[in-house]
Amino acid sequence: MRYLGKKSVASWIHRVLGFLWYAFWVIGILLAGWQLFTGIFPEKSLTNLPPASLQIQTPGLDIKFEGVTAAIVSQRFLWLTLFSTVVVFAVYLYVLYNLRRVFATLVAGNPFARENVSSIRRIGGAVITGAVVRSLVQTAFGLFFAQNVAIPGVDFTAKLTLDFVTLFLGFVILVLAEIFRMGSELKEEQDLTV
Amino acid sequence: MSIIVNLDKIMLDRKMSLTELAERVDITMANLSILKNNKARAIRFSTLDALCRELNCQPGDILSYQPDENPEPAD
Repeated sequence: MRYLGKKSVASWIHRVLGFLWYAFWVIGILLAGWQLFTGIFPEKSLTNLPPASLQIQTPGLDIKFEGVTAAIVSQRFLWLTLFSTVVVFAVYLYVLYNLRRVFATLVAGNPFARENVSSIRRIGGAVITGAVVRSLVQTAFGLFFAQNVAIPGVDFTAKLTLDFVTLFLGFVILVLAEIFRMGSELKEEQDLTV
Repeated sequence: MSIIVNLDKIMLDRKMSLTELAERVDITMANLSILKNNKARAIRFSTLDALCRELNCQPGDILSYQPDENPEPAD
């Protein structure tokens, strides 16, 4: 199995990344557009209708509550939702853009291209930033639930938790960038050895 | 880089073109051009050996040392 070059694992991944790039643009624009609509016309959106039941899905477990009441969603919260969507999708698209650039060089059979060092560094930085932003967004949504959703006998408590695994991965990626930097220097040395 | 490659002068003395020398030494024109234009970072002994053999000269005829005015700090 070939991992680099044309018709390799890298070229397959490059195609998948290309699909995800366009898919994320479409999903992001649609989602942001819908949230913009609800922000401008909250009375026409569905978010003002109190849900009769609430379902929380976790990996391996679905929890359903009946008899749920919710306060009218504030317009400020809708703008906050739009802002967080834009920021989260911007981070995803930034990572995808840089990943596509890296995999393009892998398909060309040149993994230690100089530009890969900065691309991988940017990915590491974006992963770390994304972990922090996602934690803040999740806390904001948790706060909304705690303040606006009431279920008899159920107590909602919002909390701030940091995704340490993703943070750790971000730093691992930064170390990888350093390895690629050394690799590109060695390659340049070899290319200019006659 | 303080090492200067004097291939131009020797090739002119021996009346040898870049193409011919590249063929004789068995390296690509691109690599020989890199060497001739002082862009190379390193030269293999095998390449130096082939150059001296084909140009009938000593390594000191091809390479010379000129100290930099602003020397780079050592690693």
